[in-house]
Amino acid sequence: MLKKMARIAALAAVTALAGAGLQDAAQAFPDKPVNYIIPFNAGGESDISARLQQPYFKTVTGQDLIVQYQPGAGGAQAWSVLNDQPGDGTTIMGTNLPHIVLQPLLQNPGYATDDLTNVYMFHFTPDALIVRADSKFKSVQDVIDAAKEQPGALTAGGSATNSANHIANQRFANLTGAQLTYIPYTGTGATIPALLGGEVEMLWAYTTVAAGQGDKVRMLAVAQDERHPLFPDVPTFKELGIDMVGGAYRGIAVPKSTPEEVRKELSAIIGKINADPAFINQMEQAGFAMLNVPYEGMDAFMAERKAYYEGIAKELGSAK
Amino acid sequence: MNGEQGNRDVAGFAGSLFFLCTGLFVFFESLTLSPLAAAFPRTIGATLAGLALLQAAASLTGRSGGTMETGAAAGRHADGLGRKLTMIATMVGWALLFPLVGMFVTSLAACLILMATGLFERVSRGRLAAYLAGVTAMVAAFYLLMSHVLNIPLPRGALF
Amino acid sequence: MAVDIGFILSQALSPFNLLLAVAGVVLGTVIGALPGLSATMAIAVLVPFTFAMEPASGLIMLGAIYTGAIYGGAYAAILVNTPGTPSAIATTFDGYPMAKRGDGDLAITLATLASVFGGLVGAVLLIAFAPLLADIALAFQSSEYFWLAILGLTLIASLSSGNVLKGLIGGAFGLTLSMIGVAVIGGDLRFTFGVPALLGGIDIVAALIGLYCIPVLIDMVARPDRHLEPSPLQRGFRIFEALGICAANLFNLVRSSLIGTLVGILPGAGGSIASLVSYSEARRASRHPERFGTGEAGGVLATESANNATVGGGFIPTLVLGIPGTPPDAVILGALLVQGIRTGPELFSQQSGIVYVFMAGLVIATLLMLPLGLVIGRYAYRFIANTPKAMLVPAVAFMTVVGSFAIHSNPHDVAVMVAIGIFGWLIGLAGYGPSPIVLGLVLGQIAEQGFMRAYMIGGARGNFSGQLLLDRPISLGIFALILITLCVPLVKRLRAGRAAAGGKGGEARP
Repeated sequence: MLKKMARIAALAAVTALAGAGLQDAAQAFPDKPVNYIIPFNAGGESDISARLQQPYFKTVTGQDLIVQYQPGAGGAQAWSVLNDQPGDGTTIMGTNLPHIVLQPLLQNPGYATDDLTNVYMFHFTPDALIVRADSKFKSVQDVIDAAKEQPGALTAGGSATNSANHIANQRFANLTGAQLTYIPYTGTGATIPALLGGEVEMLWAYTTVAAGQGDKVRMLAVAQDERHPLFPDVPTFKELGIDMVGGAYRGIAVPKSTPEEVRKELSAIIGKINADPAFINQMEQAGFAMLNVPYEGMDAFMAERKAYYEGIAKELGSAK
Repeated sequence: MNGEQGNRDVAGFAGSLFFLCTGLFVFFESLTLSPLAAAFPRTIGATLAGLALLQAAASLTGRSGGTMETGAAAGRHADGLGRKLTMIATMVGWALLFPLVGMFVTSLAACLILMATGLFERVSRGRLAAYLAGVTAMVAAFYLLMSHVLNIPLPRGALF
Repeated sequence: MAVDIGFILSQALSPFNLLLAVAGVVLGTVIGALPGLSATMAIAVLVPFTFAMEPASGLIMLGAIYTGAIYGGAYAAILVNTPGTPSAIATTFDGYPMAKRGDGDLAITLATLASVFGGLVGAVLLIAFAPLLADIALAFQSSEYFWLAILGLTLIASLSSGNVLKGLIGGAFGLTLSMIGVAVIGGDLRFTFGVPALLGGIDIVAALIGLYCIPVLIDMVARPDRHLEPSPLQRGFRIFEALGICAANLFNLVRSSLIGTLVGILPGAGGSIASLVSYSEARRASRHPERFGTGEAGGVLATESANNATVGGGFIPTLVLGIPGTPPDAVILGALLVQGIRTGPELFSQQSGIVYVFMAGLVIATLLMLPLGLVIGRYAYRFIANTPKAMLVPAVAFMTVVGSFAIHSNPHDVAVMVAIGIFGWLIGLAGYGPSPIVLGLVLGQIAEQGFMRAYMIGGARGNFSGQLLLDRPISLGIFALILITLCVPLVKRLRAGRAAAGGKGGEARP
């Protein structure tokens, strides 16, 4: 009883706080600022893309998008409490693939992949094989030849164990027979000095790394269907006959209690932002690749990705 | 707690027993890990256990040596035991309850208990009222700073 | 430098930008002084506001907050024995003993002067040599980080002069704590006992708050006497006394600032290692190493100049290479990206205007710390010394809870903080200090990952010993420093023992 009354009181307080927003609300949703929880540290790629979305969200909806951070355990700390958040559309959370598939597969992170209600997947950073600008490797074929000559002698850095980079390395080995020794680092940022300083011969990283490092690095190939607009000269793996398309996908999820129509509204809003030419240009300049998986198409997309990652995770040898 | 005054090495011995167990646990747990993840725990576990064994022997033979930085607290640990236990109990309760009850209410309650714990002399009623107001204002001010300025999602829990 | 200096200064010194710098330094100092609230958090919150400003104004404000926050960490370290930020860990070693005996005002003035000095050294090196120095970030690889972490761990031996064995045990226990969670190399779950909340490991800041703060709180309520000795006389800022100490420690200041800048350049090292290494070096070079840890002014000067020098140092790889040197740098780098500013060597030649305005702003913010810090510091010390315990105890306790929650917005961190704190108090009774544990926790992951990566790469190339040490001149240099740090006290003790051998055998104990 007391609990209920307190809830009502708290609710009343919240509504009162949001009162100013209610008056000029032209739209049904959102009628107050939306909290956007990033399950990683500020300054990472998830944060940068959220920061880029922020102003467009304001233009599209008239409401503020407030970015909050809840980092920990590679995102698991935030994802494990997503469903405890209020389900009125005022709380959304960034989700990342393959993290949300691999973590429950390999550990017990406190949530299951299906606990997360993904609403929209808006972009991905395609896997890329990157070497230093002065490297002797000019093409993917050079790498394959060298790796076949001395299996395991070449080192490829990447972010963490059992991550998107680790998967790319494994998939590459499966498809080409080139064995590289994968060296895990803490985060993509830490891999860059390792490459530039010569500790590793190459990196499994993303197009965003190549965009940030400019002419100090050379990208040998990208794991996209078509060439990235920022790198028209870099071939895709597919062109080279290696069937690799993928990377780290980003999207948003809502608590399970969020009503169906709010999920659809959110999906429409993100879709609108994602269609803005100025936004697309900003994202592509930073190296991101646009993707549009709205709420309606989410189930099929997730099912396809899950099957893909589950197969690879077994080969990494640590799946339960 | 091994806090008897008689032999000053008893506390040191109990401490080294704890570290010995931890070291052994870490060492044997590491046997179940993959080789890359096990190397460091195995080394450190063995080192910890070995050092703790030496320390245990030193404590029993009275060659334990002096105490460190905060070791001075050991001599006067009997002072204000009730207050110390209140402090510990309050902190534990605070940490466990605030996600359920709510940050504001739990913190206010805990701060008031600690205020009473920190009162050593009789104070006038006016002073007490000032303290009460001060503690309440502090909790409220920091709560607002955290939730509204720094955008930290503080748990509201069942109450507030 | 083909840059219009007049234009830069007029930009950086515009009244609005100056006002922002003042506000930034004050805000940063306050946030840095509160344990758990970090520079990263303050900057992240303010990033959206800076989008509405001129890029230069926004950047000046972010830089000012960052500088202020690193400096502010010293307050909590000196006045409450709790480092407000990890980079102030070593400041507690001598700062708190000074405050305890009534020299808190002096300690804060010293910390202010050292911070300004270190900040200026870092900023000047950033402005003058950034493109050159950035290559240092690339010369340090896994094996160098491993040896750097070991160098930091040798500090345990000097910190625990009373009982080296207990210090080493504490350090090993700290290393054990650092392993909890998902192993970065190997991917295994280690020592999580099936608790999902432990997947991310023990947060360093939560452990720091617990280990240093909870024992202080428990001691505070145990006895009715004052928390700090109030200054017996109205001695003002004691600035001339402090300047005298600085002059006597000039070499220490310069060395610590250079160490700070250098370590700041290394991505993945950061302020905590910078201040620990420079503290260790200051102690080794001192004529009175035994005074360190009991309220030696040189210790405060070393750590505070080093950690503020990391600010300028950290921007070197951030601006030149696009590799953030510290977590706050990562946020500022993100803000730059969103503003459409590309980092890289060309930043210094082409779009130079804004970068130099930013760096000039950093210098101005550092200089502003001097008057602002002295004034804030004076009142902070008096305030803490004169606040009755009935107010101080709940205030400090509330900060520990809210602060450890704020790190990740996670209740588990609070539970970890309280549990580790009570544990720290208990083993304190058995004579184990908190600092070795914290050192182990802070340096454990750097040491493990550095070693394991060198092992894996050495394995792939068939040359492990070369990869770890023999083929790497910088590693050999750090290794030599480690040997000196460990051996010099031993030699000294042996000599002292030989001299005393005529009188009585063995070592003298108090």
